[in-house]
Amino acid sequence: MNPMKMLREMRAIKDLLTDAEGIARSMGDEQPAAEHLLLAAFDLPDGSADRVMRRFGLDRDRLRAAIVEQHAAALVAAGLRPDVADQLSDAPALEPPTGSGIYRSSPSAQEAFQRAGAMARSARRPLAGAHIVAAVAGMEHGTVAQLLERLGIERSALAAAAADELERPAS
Amino acid sequence: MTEWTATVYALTVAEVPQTDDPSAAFAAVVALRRLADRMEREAVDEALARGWTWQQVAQALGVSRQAAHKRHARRTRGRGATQEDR
Repeated sequence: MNPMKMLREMRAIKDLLTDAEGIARSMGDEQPAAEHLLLAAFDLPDGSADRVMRRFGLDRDRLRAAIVEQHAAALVAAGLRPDVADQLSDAPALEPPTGSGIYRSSPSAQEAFQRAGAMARSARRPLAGAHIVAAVAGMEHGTVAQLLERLGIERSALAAAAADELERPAS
Repeated sequence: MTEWTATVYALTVAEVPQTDDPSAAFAAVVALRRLADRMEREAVDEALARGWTWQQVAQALGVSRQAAHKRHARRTRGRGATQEDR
């Protein structure tokens, strides 16, 4: 890879991780998890995550709302009254990240990011949003898996759509 | 009634559903942990605002002073008095 391309990719990855952290904190979570990385992938310049997710009727705002609904559904399953669960699942935002210090993320975000990076490297192409989608679709358990199940989206279908998107020639 | 006492009340009056599905049980654990984290942050902020020391906060949480400080100091830095040194 030529140095300019490498620099652009490094910048895109830094923006992706910073964006994921900002999204997590805006949703009341201290550290980004796989679902926040997926939301951040919508804004990657290649646009492939957005295109894949829209095939399943999800734009960034709809996915974000579905994550909050997923938290509420889990709280109801834990025994909270639905009205209280709704109120508590939409957590107030934490202060935005300062951008200094060590970058911290949850294990699910690390796993998704590592899976996506491995896919991109094995295909010898820059990391794209669809790699993140494929990576989270490959995770059998966790918030994203539960969320997809609740929305009636097969993980295998999502992974196939991401693979299809990645095979398209770059525009 | 504070938010967390409302939550505890809601928990005590609700009938806790039983599930034998581990995925559903884990999802409930994750959601409750997320809620507990939020309750902890709010309680620590309130305690520090009332002049509690990190030692007192740690004792109340049942963790070491270092653990409490490490978990919350970044967020609470710059607020109130110089609690970090106490």
